Amino acid sequence: MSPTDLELIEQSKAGNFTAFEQLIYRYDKDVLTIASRFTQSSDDAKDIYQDVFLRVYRALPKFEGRSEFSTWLYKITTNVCLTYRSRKKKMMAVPLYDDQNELTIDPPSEKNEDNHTEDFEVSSKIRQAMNLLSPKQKLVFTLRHFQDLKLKDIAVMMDCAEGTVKKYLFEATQKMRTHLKDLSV
Amino acid sequence: MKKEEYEELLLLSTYGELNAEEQVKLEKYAKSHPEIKAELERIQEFQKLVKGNISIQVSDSLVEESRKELRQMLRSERNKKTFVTRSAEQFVQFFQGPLKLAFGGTGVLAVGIVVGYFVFHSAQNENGFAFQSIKNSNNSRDQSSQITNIKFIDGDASDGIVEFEFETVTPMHLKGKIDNPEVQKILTYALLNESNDGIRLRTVNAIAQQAEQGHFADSSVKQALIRSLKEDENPGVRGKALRALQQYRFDDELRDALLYVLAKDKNSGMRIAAINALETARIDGNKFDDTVAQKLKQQIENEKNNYIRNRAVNFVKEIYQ
Repeated sequence: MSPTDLELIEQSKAGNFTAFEQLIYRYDKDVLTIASRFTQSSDDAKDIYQDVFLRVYRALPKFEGRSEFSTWLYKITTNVCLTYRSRKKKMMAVPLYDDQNELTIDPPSEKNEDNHTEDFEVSSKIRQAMNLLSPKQKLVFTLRHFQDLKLKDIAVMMDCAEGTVKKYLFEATQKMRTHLKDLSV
Repeated sequence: MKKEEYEELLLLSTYGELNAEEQVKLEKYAKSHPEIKAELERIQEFQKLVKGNISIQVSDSLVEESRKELRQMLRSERNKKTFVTRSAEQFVQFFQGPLKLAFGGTGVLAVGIVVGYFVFHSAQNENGFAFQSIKNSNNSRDQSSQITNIKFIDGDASDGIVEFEFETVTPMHLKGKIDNPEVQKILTYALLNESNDGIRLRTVNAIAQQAEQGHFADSSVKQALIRSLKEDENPGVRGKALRALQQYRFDDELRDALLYVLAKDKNSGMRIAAINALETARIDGNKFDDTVAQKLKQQIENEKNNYIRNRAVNFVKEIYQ
């Protein structure tokens, strides 16, 4: 039987690095997925991934198990996502939308060449619209729309009221719909 | 109900996030406002459009790459904080507190005495206020232990007592056969976590030599070898790991690791060693199915090295014969 998170946490605290890896490999794909969807860049997602798990590694000795490990981890992930963008904004004046640095978009396979071009344009517009959102709006939209997380769970992760999360989601949707009105939505 | 309020409820309803009260409210509103249906359709259309056109895939290679970088970063994280840097950090932190003026001088004195103790190993500490807890801890400490990561719990020496927390590192000597669990634990640790390339190389060499003589370490060591083969930054270590793994019974896990090296390793020598190992396994009677052939075909398309490409082509031919 595979060890529980708590057992792995105890082993990690005792200095067992293999246990630490086993623990984080249970969740790291989710963290990377959230980061990728939030930043839309594999390089930025990797940065966030490293930052999240470095923080987990440093803080694990103080983790007392008052919440689930996953809840704690996702809280760290949302914090890093939110501060990552503001740090980037503060440090360099780069365009928010960087074609060089973006993740691959998979065009639907059954469509013809013309449709591919059209899809790419639509994707670009959607990405631009997402980049107009504030970090919190974007994060809530990402977690609810792409990760299918419940709003009450997102509220716990972001350490705010559920009503606030609802507000972010609504505002995000409205902003994006306005920006994408050319696409008849 | 205001327009914005019903629009928010409408949006939440598409995510199944309405509570009972909100649901009733929205249904009631919808009865007297049939135009709401069109708005609902527009929201759903928008959601479909976004989901359908932003399909961000986190590939396995991105996960592997991230894990590899993380392991390297954590390895250096563990190694970078030496006794000196940690002590310096604590020292600086101590003097950045709000009571720095009041207790700075006392702190300097306390730290000075502690440092003096470690430097000179003075025996004159029986009456020294700073040495009480150190002395107590010292009782359970081996003389060869090194002290690291000192943290002040109570740096205020005004009451005559200071309190520290610290870690001790004790050198150990271990001699044993490769199948000894303790030995295997150390070998696995060294393979995965040791920052010194030479030590990882010697570790993997020791495992290879023992394996050649028929002494096999358990599956955790084998897993560590596979990870070294795939992820170690030093090609020498990766090469030795491959040599060691060849002594083990050929199985799907090893086959996949070799295919991984063939596809991902930037060092052509490693890719040649991988295809050689696959070839040897085939000659030894191991069967390769269509999945392997497909992976090799993919490799043929991406491989820039003619020699490796030809070897892969021949290997595929052999599979289908």
